[in-house]
Amino acid sequence: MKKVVFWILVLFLLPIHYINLEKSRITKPAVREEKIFLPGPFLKIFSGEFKGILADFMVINLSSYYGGIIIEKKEAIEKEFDYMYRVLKSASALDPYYFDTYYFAQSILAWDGRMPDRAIEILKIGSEKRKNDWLLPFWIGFDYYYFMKDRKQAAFYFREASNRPGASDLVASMSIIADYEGGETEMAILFLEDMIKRTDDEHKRSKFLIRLDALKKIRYLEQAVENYKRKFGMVPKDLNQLISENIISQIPDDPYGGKFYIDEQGRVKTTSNLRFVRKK
Amino acid sequence: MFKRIYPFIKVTFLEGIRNRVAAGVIIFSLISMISNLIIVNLAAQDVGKVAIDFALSSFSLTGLLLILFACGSSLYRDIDKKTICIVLSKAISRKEYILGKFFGYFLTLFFVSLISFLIGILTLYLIKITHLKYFTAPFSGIFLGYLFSFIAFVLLLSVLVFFTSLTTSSFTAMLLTVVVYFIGNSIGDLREFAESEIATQAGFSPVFKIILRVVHFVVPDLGKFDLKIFSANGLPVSFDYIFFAISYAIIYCTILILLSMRAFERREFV
Repeated sequence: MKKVVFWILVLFLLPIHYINLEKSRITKPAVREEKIFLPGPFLKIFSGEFKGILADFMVINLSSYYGGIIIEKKEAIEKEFDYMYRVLKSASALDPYYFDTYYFAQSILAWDGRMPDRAIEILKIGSEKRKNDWLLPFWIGFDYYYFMKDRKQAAFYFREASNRPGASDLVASMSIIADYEGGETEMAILFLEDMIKRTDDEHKRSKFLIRLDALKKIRYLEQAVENYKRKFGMVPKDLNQLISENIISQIPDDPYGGKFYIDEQGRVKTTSNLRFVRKK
Repeated sequence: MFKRIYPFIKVTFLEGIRNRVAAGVIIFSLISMISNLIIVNLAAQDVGKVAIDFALSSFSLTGLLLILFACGSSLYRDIDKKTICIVLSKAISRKEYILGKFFGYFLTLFFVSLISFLIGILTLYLIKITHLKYFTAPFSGIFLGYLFSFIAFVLLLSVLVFFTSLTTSSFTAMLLTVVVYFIGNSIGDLREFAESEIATQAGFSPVFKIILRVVHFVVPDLGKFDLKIFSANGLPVSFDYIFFAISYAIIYCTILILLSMRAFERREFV
């Protein structure tokens, strides 16, 4: 009888403790910048013959860490991006051939973290090692072009990508576009469409689709501003002038919750800066 | 000589596979392979790479556990239980005893590794079928990864046999083997780092570099047999590398076994 009571108690307590354990895990703060983190060369020495699998687990763990941040508060803060940069850099030192490290460097650091310089630093390691992979120099070129406005470097890396096996004609034409002024939003749209084709992850795909929608709307407004300039020889003061002159019927909504506007240089911008606007 | 030690090799092999540790190691490799089928789904793009890394790493861990816990403890059992006196009273010399033990354990290691390898390959094949787009590494490279891991096991086994013939406690021999395992796997990277520009700028002493070179020469360079990154990323390995690495392993094993035979001849069992 005593044994039965004991087992019932154990079986009853176990799920309760498990649920509480799960709850405490979820409420754990996401920021990990305080954690002691060994630099890549040391990790390489200490991990012995398990370098590859350690890199895999670091990147998989980072993916779930970032996913947790997105679910909890939609966007990460600088310290969290800094932590993710260090993880990716160490993973690239452990196994410089691992594609997922560079995939996350591009999608998390360059796009979401607005740290294109850090993304480029990691991507260059991969581009050097993965000589048959055209995507990595393509991403470097894109980051130089779109985020850092360095067209010379962008054109160099696009050309590098176009010379590698499997690169589409699109890459070669991008190197041409990069050599000339303009076409930034168009470039971003082409790039994102390529990323959407490539991803099987529904969560990431939906994020990319929102960004693509915003960029297409910006492109639509940019074309309208161009039409206005051709018609009146000047940049409109604000977007409402495009409606009053019957160039567009309405100003589209920014999917990130911001408002589109024309900046001092006459470029179409959004107050959201392509990030979800936090409700106060 | 082979006729005389053959029954001894057979007994050691049978003892090895009847050992519960060997069964435990096989169960461990089965569990890790099931885990592999689950974990690969967490990879973003490079599914094949994660799967191969996991399969080869669990294979390495399987071999390490088998060498340390099955082979290490069993060698001392003969000495502790004095069964060695019965064996040596027969028409078998001490040299032949060491040789018989080494080949007996080699066969045990081969048998358990073969099962672990078959489980691993089957799992990788299943993952390849289900994630065809993200599994590009060729199976020839994966086979090579397994083969080189097995060669590293044999090297480590010869290190264990060597320390067993020198020391009087199984714990000391196992501990020294573990130390050689860690140094052997990191010495290449450690030397590379010590001779890099960063280390020079940080003020690494030239004496330390010389010590590392000596250690690198003495301790088996197990890192040279770690082809996991090559296998997982589908990178080619030159024929020259394969040839010289295998030759290095054969020469190193032969030297250690010869030294073990010599040390064992001078040992007293009182």
